[in-house]
Amino acid sequence: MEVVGGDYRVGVDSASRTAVFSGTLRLNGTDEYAPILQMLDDLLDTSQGSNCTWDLRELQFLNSSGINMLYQLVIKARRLGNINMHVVGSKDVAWQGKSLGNMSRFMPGLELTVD
Amino acid sequence: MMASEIATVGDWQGEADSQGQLHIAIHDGWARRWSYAGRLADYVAAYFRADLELVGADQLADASAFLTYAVNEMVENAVKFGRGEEIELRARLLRDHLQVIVISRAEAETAHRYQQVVQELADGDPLMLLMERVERNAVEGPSAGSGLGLLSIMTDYGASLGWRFQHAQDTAVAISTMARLPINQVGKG
Repeated sequence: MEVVGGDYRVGVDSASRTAVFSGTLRLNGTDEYAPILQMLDDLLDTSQGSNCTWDLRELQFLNSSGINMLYQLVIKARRLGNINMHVVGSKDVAWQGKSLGNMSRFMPGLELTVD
Repeated sequence: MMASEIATVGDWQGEADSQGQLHIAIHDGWARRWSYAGRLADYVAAYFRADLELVGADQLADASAFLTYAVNEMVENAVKFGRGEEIELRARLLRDHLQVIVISRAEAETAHRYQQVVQELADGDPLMLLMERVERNAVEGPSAGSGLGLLSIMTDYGASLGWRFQHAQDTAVAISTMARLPINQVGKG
């Protein structure tokens, strides 16, 4: 499964329960993020009792609406209480060094790797 | 006509009336050109790159990240809350900080509500407000805006924000938003 736009791609590999993000995501609010949100929400549902990985290393930019979407999904994972969340980022991508750390505030058990 | 001031909120610096080093006026019709806000932000970051290179590598990365993120969020807000008219951007590198100002016009009622929102941001602890806002968004579900743009400019990038509200022509209110990032210009004499 994947959602592809002009300069971004978000793909989900169901077997490994991994979402891979790439490009630049600057969509306009909740409506435009809905297809991506739906796909990631489904991924969380199928990850219950197991692990779920978001690989953000190739995502060069994410606006605040997109950051909000990821935080909301992290809170959902916290509430479900039975998913091992793993978020992988890159310290070479500026926004990730700035904003990814907040994810652990919303889900203390979340494993965050920023290399 | 000189605009008369209604209020300033937060960390607004009075010298902002001087011309910016980079001054861009974006004409009406921006609601249809949402994605251009990001390209404009990339341009502003690229424009200041040469000057920032004198500052040092870590600060260059931080300052470029700030410009790319903050300009995009500030212009998106101006489009969202404005009434489809011109948006003005001024940015300049001063001795100890980078300053970005985005100016747009909104209907008086919208501007009044916006002023209440930013007063709350200015009065509170940004990180606490961000945490509360994200948890509230999770309870309330999708809404028009995440409310995170301005907060994350402060919490994630370490910038300060200020606002000025002025009467403009007819019933409109000119809203100026200023973001300032501290810069240590060790490389400059």
